Amino acid sequence: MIFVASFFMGCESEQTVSKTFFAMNTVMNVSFSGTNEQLGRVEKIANDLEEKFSVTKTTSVVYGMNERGEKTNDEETIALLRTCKDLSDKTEGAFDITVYPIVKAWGFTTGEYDVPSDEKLLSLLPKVDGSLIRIENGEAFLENGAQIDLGGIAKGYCSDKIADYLRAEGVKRGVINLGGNVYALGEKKKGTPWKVGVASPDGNGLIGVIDASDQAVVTSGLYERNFVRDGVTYGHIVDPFTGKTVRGDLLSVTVVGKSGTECDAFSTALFVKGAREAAQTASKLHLSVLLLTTDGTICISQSLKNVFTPSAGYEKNKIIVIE
Amino acid sequence: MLKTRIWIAIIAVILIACVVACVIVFTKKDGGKRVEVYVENELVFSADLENVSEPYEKIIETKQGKNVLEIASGKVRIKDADCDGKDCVHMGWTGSPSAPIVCLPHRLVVKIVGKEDVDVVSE
Repeated sequence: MIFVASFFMGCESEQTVSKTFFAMNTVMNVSFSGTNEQLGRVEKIANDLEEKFSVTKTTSVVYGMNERGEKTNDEETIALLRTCKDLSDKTEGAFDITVYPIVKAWGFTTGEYDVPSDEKLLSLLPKVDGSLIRIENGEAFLENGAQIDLGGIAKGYCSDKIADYLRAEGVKRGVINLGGNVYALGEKKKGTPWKVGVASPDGNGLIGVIDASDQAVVTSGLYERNFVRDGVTYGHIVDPFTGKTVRGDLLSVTVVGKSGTECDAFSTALFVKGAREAAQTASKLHLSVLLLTTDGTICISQSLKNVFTPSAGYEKNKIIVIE
Repeated sequence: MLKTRIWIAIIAVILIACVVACVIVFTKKDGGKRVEVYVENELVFSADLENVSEPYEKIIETKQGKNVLEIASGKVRIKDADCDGKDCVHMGWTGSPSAPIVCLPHRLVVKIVGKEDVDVVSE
């Protein structure tokens, strides 16, 4: 009887391995049908990327470029910088990794929050310029005191790298959650997509659930890292054009797509653009997006309409479909 | 014949065992909602969230500092902490297994375990 029971228990599921670990300044959870050895390799991918891209580790490639004016010939860094420049062009500058000096002035790097004066922001804005990232003769470097922060794209990039590794290993299904940046690998089981909840900005449950298979789901919102000063809440997304933190008409932006790298960058950029321009950009670039505005309107791309189920608190909200 | 009857009886017992095993395995009831607190990936505290008549507090000590957990019916939050930034406090209440609360400086994770309504939360 025990033998028979254990036979059926074995039939119930493949071996799912799972681990929660800290990397890139956030908590990461990876779960997939595979081996513990592969799990260890996944954690190494995240840690190695942190070593390379961290703005605070003095041995990182990015720190060397930012603080010591070093050139790098690291192919992975150069490829990601090219991608960043391309995404900056596609979003008309709303996504811009050279915004780092301003991010520092707000204290988001150290946690020593401050509200920089307009004069301080004006003095730093000339450094916010994607053309100051130079890539020539197989080397990348920064000009005129520009400094970069890959925080707006690194987790998405990391999720792609992990997903590519797992696919190459023949892993069929899994969930990668890097501090809320989600990559749903394969299907939960044959014919059943993963159910990815989209967090509600009021911290109370979900806006709804997106069915996703082999897709990244990345959400940006004001409710993430923020601080309050003199009764005003300052979110962590900086507008590269003004240097101020974004306080427009969007509460939450979710982008769904094959590339975690792009979804991560676009979710930040659309937040900067505000609802109307975000919808226009999504339409122009054929992005699949879910936007929640301050008046409670849900704007959703046609491509997501049939895979999105609003949760109980959002069923009565006005829905606009973006073509 | 006796021998045939014995064989029929043996096969019947095996078949019944299979059915019982299936029933046991496939009707495994999920436990009620619980909170689990991990420090440096080790479980340090766990409590039931289903039968909480009055909210109560629990102090979690870590090497880097202290977090004060408040436990209520079906949800939990970090009420106070002595970390820089207090991001964990600002996260507020969670009742969802897919939305843990994290205190990075203290390497502390507060997880809800129980029936999953989604597989993961994008946030």
